[in-house]
Amino acid sequence: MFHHNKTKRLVENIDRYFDGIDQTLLIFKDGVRNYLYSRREDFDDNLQNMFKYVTELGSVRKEIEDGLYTQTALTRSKGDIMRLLEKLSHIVKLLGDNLMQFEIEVPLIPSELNESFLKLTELSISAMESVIPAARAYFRTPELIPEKLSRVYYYEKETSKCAQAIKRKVFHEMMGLKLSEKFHLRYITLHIENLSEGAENIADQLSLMYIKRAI
Amino acid sequence: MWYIGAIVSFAAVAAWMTAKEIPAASGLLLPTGSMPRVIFGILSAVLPAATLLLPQTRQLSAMLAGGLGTGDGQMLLVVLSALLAVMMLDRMYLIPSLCTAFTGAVEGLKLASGHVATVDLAAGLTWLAALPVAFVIAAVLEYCLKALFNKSGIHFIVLSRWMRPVAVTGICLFFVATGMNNWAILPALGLSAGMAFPYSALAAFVILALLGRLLVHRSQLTGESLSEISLHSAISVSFAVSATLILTSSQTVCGLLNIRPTPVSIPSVVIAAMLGISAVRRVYAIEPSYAGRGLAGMALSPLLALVLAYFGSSFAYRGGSSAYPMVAAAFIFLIAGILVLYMFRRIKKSKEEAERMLAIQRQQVYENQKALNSMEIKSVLYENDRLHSTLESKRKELVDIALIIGEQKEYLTRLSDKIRAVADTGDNEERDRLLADMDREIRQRLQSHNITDDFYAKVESLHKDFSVKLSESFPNLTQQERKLATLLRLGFSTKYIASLMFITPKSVEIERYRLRAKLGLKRGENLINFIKSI
Repeated sequence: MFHHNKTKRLVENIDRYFDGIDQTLLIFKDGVRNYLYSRREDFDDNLQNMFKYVTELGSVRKEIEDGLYTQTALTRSKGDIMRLLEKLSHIVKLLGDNLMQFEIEVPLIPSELNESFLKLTELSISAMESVIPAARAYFRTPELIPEKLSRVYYYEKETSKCAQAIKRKVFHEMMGLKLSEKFHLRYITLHIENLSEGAENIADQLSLMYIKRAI
Repeated sequence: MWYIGAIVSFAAVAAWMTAKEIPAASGLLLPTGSMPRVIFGILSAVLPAATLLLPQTRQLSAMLAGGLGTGDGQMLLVVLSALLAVMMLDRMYLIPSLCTAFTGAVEGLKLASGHVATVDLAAGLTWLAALPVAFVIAAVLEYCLKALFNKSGIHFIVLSRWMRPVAVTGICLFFVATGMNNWAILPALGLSAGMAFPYSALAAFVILALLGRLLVHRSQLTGESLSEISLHSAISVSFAVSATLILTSSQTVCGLLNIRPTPVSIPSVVIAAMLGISAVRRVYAIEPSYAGRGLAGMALSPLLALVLAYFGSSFAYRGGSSAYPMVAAAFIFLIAGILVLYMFRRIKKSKEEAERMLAIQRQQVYENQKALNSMEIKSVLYENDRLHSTLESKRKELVDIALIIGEQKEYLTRLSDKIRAVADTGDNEERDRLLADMDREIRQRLQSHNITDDFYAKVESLHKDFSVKLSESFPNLTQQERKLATLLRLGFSTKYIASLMFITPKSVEIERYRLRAKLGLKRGENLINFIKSI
């Protein structure tokens, strides 16, 4: 009835899952940088690593879900934790898909936009990186969640501003680009921006979970 | 015979408690998944039945059975009164308690038999004392567990794993507590029928085992409805309820507090415990209306059962102390109960019918409103069309004016040229001829100019209703008379009408006279007012 080792393993899996997400975020950031500076081989390595982590995180998530159902006495929190994992999993999928889009579509990014795209990626990933400590805090120190989430909302806003600046620059200043190229750049910008929106979505979920735990 | 009566009473009491009262607390920890449902069902029969054999439970049962006779059907009357009371209160959407109703019915029976002069309020004191006890225990547990869950820094999953044995303990403790407290009624019923304790415990075990699946199902439903209660709150409430039940069954504890051990209402104790955790959370864990219904049910159950048992017993003892009148009373109770249930169902049905009719009426009002809105839309569209046509006619008017201005300018230029030609002509005859031509031309233009016709056409289009009514009412009017009537309606003076009609003012007066005659006006009647009234 009381599986000590299994519980320990479940806790380890949860920590492993968060560590894995942290790794994918770093890989994505590095991947975008390598693409922008045309380091093809490094980019391919990033892509390979990303898929490895996506697959591994999928199986870790399954193990966590099994553990939650079989080893805990959680009633309403179980559903909330499942939802959190699902949303985090969605972000991991987005990271993999976005990197894959760079590989397949090979978007033409003018060199003068490199810095802007790097900044956008940095901000978007920062939003996600700030969500992970908040998610970890839910399990140990829930009272720290609001403090950690305020950073997520800040980075999300900054990402939106940066994305708008890029789009404005592309459509208003870069007259040498074809309309199709402009659309493509807007599309890529939007996809990177979506990561921070996903982070905001998770932050909302964590806020609710915090309230539920607080009462 | 009374053994069978006791077992039937056992079954009725156990079924009610299993379906209505026990799940209020047993449903708190079942959804934690700490215990398989089969084991839950088995424990729900084994633990209470085993507890019935404890000396403490025996004492409580013997005390409860103290007011009941053995063999003359008093037990049946008490059970029926209590059941009828709780069923009636349940129908009134209150949350009754069979234990308190049972105690009330015993008191009613004692009063009717004349053994005591007043109602013993000791049980009531215990019920009242149970509420703050549950409140305080739940609040303290909730405070401690909340601190453990939120501030200890221990992983949530580890804590939840630790809570599994706690939940199992809570479930077991609750079954033991119900055995010590609420289920003590069952041996009391057995004792009143002359049944020994072990047999009562065995009968209770069999009946509770048979009702095990019902309890699991009901507990699951209650647990699902309490999904907003967190794990630590569920544990707090469950332990507080169990502790309160055990304390109110304990001779020692009750002796210290100078109260009597008595079965207490589980739903009311759960409500008190919920209010205790609400005090710590500073948010209502249950609806205040639900708490009110529970407390009202707890208070009314013994009162109603007391009244029913008293009158039932008085009626039964009218002709002596034979068992037959008791059975007759029981029969009357049953009939009365059925009638009450029927009445409540009728009231409920009539309420539903009234609600249905109200919904139909609302639907009709909605349809009418919709039709009205549609008509309003049509009216607005019609008004828009009318305004559009008016705008169109105004636009045409402007175009006409522009054309007329152009034409007039052209004509005046031509006339100016002719005048200059006349002035340049030296021959007097030629000058006279040219002047005569000009005079004729100007007169012809005055006669045939289409401005006047346009004017009449516009007036007619603006006063279409008047023109139509005038033609229909007075078909013998000439064109000239109709024009005059129209101009009079517009309020023009005789002089102006004369200029518009190219006749003298005297002729206008003559035309007015003729028009009055044709319209059939008498002396003294105003022509203009009459025309305006058409």
